[in-house]
Amino acid sequence: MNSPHRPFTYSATHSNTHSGQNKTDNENPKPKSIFKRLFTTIDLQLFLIVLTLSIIGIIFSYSSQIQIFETRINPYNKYIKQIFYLISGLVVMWLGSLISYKRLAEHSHLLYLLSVLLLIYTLIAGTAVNQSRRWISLGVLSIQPSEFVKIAMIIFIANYLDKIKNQLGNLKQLFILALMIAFPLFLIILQPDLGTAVVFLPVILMMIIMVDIKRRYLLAFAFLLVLTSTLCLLLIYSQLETAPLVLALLFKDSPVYLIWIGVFFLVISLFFFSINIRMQNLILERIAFYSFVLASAVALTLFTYYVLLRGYQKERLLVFLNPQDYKWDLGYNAIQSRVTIGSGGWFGKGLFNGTQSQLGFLPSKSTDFVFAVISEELGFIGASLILILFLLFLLRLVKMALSVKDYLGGLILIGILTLFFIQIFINIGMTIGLMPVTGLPLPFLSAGGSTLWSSLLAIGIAFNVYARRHVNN
Amino acid sequence: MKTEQPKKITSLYSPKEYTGYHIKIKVLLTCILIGFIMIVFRLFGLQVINGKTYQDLALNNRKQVIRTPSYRGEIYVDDGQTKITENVSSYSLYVFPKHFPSFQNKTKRKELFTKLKTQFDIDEITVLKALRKGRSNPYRPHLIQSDTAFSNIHYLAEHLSEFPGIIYLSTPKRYYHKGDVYSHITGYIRAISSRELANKSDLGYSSISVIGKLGIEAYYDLELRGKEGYKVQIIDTKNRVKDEFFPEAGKPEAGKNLILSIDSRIQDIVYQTMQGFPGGAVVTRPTTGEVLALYSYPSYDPNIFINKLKKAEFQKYIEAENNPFFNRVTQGEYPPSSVFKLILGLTATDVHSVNLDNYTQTCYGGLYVGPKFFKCEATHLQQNLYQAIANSCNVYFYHLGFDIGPQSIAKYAETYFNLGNITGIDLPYEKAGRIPDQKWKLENIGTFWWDGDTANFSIGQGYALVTIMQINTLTAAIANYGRAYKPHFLKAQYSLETGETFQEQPRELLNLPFSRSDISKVRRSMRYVVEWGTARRMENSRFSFAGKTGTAETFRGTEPHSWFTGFAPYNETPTDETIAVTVFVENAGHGGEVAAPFATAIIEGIFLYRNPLVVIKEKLQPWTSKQAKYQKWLNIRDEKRLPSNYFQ
Repeated sequence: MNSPHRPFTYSATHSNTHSGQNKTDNENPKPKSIFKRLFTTIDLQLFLIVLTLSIIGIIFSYSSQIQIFETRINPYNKYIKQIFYLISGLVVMWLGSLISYKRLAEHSHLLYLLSVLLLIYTLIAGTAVNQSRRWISLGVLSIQPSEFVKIAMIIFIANYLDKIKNQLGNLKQLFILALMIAFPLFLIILQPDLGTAVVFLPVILMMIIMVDIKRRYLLAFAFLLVLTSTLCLLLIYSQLETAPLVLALLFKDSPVYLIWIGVFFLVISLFFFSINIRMQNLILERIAFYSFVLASAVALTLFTYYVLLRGYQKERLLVFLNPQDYKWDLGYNAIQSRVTIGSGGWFGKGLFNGTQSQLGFLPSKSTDFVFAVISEELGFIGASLILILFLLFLLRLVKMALSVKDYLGGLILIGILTLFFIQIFINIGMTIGLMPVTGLPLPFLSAGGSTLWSSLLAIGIAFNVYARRHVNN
Repeated sequence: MKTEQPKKITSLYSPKEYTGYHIKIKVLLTCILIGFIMIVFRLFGLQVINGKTYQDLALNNRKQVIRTPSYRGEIYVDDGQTKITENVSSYSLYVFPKHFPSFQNKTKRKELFTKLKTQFDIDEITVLKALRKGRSNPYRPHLIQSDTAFSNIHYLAEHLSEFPGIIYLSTPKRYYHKGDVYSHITGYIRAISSRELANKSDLGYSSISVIGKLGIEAYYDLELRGKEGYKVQIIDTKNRVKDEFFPEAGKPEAGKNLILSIDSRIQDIVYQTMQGFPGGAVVTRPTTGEVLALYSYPSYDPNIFINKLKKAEFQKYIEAENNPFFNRVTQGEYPPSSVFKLILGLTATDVHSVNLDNYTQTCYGGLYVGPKFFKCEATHLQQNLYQAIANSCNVYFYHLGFDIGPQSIAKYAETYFNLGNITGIDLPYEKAGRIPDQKWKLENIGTFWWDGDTANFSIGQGYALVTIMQINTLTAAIANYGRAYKPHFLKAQYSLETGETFQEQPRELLNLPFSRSDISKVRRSMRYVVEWGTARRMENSRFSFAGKTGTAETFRGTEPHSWFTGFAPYNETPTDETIAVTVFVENAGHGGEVAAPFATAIIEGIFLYRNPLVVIKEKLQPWTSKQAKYQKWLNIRDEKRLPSNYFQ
């Protein structure tokens, strides 16, 4: 079934379209120098924004280390490391923009395989930090594979969607895709790294939205996600002392009621489905379909709540719902972060003068809560400037996505754009109390090699797509 | 703009094909913008609108207020030299929950527990209890060991980094000299309880404060404790002090020293006299209202509260037969018995229906009130006021009571003699006693007031209850011709810092509306009580004093309570030498048999120490003293033969 609004179709007359653009290239008769040719893929505007953000990140990793009280660690260790990460990360970015994305997409099944193997290796042989295995130690460095898996997955999904774009009505293809996505996500959740896994869902959703999928499936998918997360939150909320009685009665201690609700919908779905085999009634089919969605939402909730979510993750959500009750233990991060940001005022306490961060009240000040440090030391003005930089960065990516003319590239760019937006929103939202606390880094600003490298690699891929937007291959 | 348009049209990708894609990206863009607007709004709310609150919170985060205890004023007896209390300083260990290893950090925690056990002998449970207490406020130190040995403090100071969350503070301790003797006056101090802290936090108490629990320590707690000081420390999360400053407002102020009117020697005499007999005795100075001695047996040793309370010792006090923490002088409510007759006698002089000048009654050993027979101690036959008070004749006062009427008696007792109201002595938890009337009886007993009640009321039995202190004030009022001052311990308070001394001025409590001649009649009858009345066995005393005995009937099978209240010396004009003594002994016997000898012992002791030459003079002039005694006997004999119409 062909949709009338198919965005991209390969056209035989493709090369003619760029006559104007090519002309501008041809207007410059001088042959490009090697240096220029090497960096021709790089978009200067985006590059400058990214560089500014990364340098600010280095400054604040220095700020967080400047008055460290642990005498046994070299106080300037981290920020020198960060400089090294940036320089090497720029090389990674450049490398990422070199090989054509189409070539990469062709071999995306290899990327997928590599990601899965890496994740399995991490689970088996990763270094455990705070009861979670997220890191692979490579001698001097340690790498967080899930950061790179995100990019590999974006390319893989984009390629897959590009390939099945003509058979989108086929549920089977979507189901296979869902399984393909679910496996590495499951591996990431097992680490456990819920933050990274959660970030992935909107990315996938957005990429699928970009394809002309049947609106019903999309709706069902979105419905499933929303319902599952709502039910999970309700389950957690029912554990609270202040929870309404009905909720507490329904959900506290045992999932019996929920199981019965699920079974009820499943029975309804099967019933209508069996009736419908003869009658072929559209309404009955819809009822069967949606009650199946409901039943699977319940099943997914139970699976998520009782299998996937660890105790501390539930507690984090609980704390998000009611931080003041956990002021001194679990809600400490969230509250201190809010105090840190709030005490910045209009103009902040001055660079390197943040009391909350410098006296050690704010945890993870150079990584997850770096935005809080910036807000404390530079105030509302400084934080707003950072936000404007991020907005410019995203707008540039949007502009790039708008200008790309082929399907695959567009999907990759949309994936990267969504990935960055979600990370930025969740991280900043977490520091200001809009989101529960998850261990998610802020791109370019948070200290750490893997996150910076993966972000720069993603930018490299974006450059890759943007630079080759006119090339018909 | 115009140059761009044809470009788009000429593009092979017609805009139609793009629409879906572009619109979706624009929707995404809108989402991004909405997200950023949300963030900016939230940031604005946090940083600009609520910035001030969060700045304060951040300041509190790194500010640690360390309380420095103030010097607690000491208590002296009336010479201004002898201390009853002594400030001793000792060190205590506290846990600071915020910096104690959290429960997730199991190894470090366990290590610290074992270290505490081996080094300071502190059990894990005590620390855990303190930590639990500290859950609500982890920035507050919580006591885990008091009176730590100095060597241990020295060790801790050297190895502070090995004990995160453990701090030591010097705490003032109070030692009570002769604690047993003064316990009902001084009371004792204890660490403030959380409930008291909640009630009194606006008075400047903090969690490390000590607070007076009983006696002067409680009554004058605000004066004694001064003002706690504090210093402010800027700390990091590891509790390392980065900066420290002493604000002007945080300067501790020493408490005021108090000088009491207690005469230590009189107190000793009273203490020795009362040993072994549950009851109370109080000696005051009628001209000023100063309390010279106050003792209630049994008493307790306040020093048991200094160190960690030994349970066994405290239990001993708790289980003791006659509650030692009960101050019988101000808190004990007893029937006034015959002492009440003084009030009746005085009231009669002011009530117009009774012409006391020729008021006599004949006692035949009792009186029928309705069907019930109200008995008297003896058959006194014809009695006038002097005889009736001296012999404590019930029948006379039954008649007098009926003539005056219970309302008038209650009115006089309440308004002029202050019974049923507290005296206002500077001890906490004073009781008011009770003067019954018809309304009271109807409300509390449920029956009407009948004549038998009036009869009982007239002789101080029945529902009337008084405290020993109230009886003492009215005795003082009689000794002082109608004027009594509020009984008080505090003579002066002076502050160490400014050197200022505040003398306490006596405040009037009773001003009896009776003429001097009327009161001197009662005074005289009180003298007769000692000379040939119910306390006649005291007639041989070296010193002349007047008084009134009382025998309060109790439940059948137990001995009656024994009262004696009096003043000495028996002079026409009271001077500063004059004392008013009230002795009460529980379940001991007749007033004349127990309380009166006790009072005599106290009075003799006091005057002997005040005037030791008396004994020597006696020995030097044996004949004159014997002669004087003979003369006294002659006088008594004459007065005993007074005609009943003596007043005419």
